[in-house]
Amino acid sequence: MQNSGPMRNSIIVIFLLSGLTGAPASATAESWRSLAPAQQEALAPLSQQWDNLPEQQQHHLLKTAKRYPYLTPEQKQRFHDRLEPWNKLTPEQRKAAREKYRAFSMVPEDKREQVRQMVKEEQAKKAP
Amino acid sequence: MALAQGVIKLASPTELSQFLGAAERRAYKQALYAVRNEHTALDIVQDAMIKLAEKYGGKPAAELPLLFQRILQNTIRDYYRRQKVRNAWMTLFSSLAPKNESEEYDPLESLEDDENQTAPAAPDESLQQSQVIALIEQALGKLPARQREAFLLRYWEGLDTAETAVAMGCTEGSVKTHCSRAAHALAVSLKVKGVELP
Amino acid sequence: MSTNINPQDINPDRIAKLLTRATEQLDDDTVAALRQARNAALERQTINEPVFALGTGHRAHWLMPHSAHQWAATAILFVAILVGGVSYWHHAHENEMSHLDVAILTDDLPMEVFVD
Repeated sequence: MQNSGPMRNSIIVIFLLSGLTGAPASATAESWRSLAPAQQEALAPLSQQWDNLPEQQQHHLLKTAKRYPYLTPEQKQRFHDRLEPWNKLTPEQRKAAREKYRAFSMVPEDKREQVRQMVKEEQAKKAP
Repeated sequence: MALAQGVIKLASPTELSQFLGAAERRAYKQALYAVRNEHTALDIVQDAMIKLAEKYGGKPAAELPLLFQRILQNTIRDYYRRQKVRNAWMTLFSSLAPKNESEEYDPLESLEDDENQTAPAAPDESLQQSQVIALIEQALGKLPARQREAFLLRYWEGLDTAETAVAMGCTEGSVKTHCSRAAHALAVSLKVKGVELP
Repeated sequence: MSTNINPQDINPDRIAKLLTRATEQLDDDTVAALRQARNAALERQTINEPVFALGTGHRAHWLMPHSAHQWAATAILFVAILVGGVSYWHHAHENEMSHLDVAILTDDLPMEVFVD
């Protein structure tokens, strides 16, 4: 069979195309038992609710879980502390929070530092 | 291969200058009613003028009014939205801020500056008319943005419904709705304040 | 053209006239600033529209697909780029989202700062 140049190129492109569209966001629900140990460790606080969570939310949580191993011990603690309240929010609340955080990270560094300072002081006042 | 430019009558610098000179005061006021800050309003007008000159400086003079209004409305909306984001942010910050120190946050100064709203009374003008104008401007400022846009474009800038729709980026039906609501709201507002239009 | 306004409610033309009156009363500083803005715009006025060479040029001839094969290849390539672009954007968007999530969950600042 004689393959002309452009035809062969088309075939290559078709392969490329399937490669790009391959592995879309996995929309299948995963049971807690089917998760890898590393994932279970990251998402431990949600072990009870996990199976009842919508697939999309599971997908997002698994993506965040990927970064868990790279966190400092302090960050890991906060991650675990906040997972449940975070999970209880509505999708709209989470979306709003992301936007606020994104806006916050675009504020100049000194203003951000000011806010952190203020919050620390407030928390110190509240703590015994 | 070159595009034949000779046949189209392009806006010369004089024509653009004349157009801007005629449009700038109303443009400034439109911006002012929306963002309530003189400095910001001036920025908006300059921004819009520059965009017009850069993007459409070569357009026929007859096309400039509508093009400019579309740019102006978009620019106002951009600044307005940014101001709202800032306001929301300031609310966030101020809820965290210690109650005694709120001067550090400069942007607070640009919010709700009502003192700048009233136009200075011209010496030869009856005080009454200046007061009426001030009340009208106040009422305008209180309108929802889209209603104010539609009203001013239709009745102040003299665009027809189709042109207003283009400038606002909505349908003609929406324009009519916004307009009638604006007119109604203004009528109510002015009646409440006891304003009789001379 | 009818505008659904009860004529007794309001006279838009009268209002417009009064608003115009207000523009005649602007203070000198504002007027000067507006003139400055106008000049800034005039300085940047570009008169020449970009010239689009539509089809008459011979130089671009070799880039255009000729045979059916080449058209097919071009079409597939175009779709591949489009899909690649969309799926790239989708992934980039998702990545950004999970970055933000992790940041909110681990930041110094308590979560309540970002949640109403």
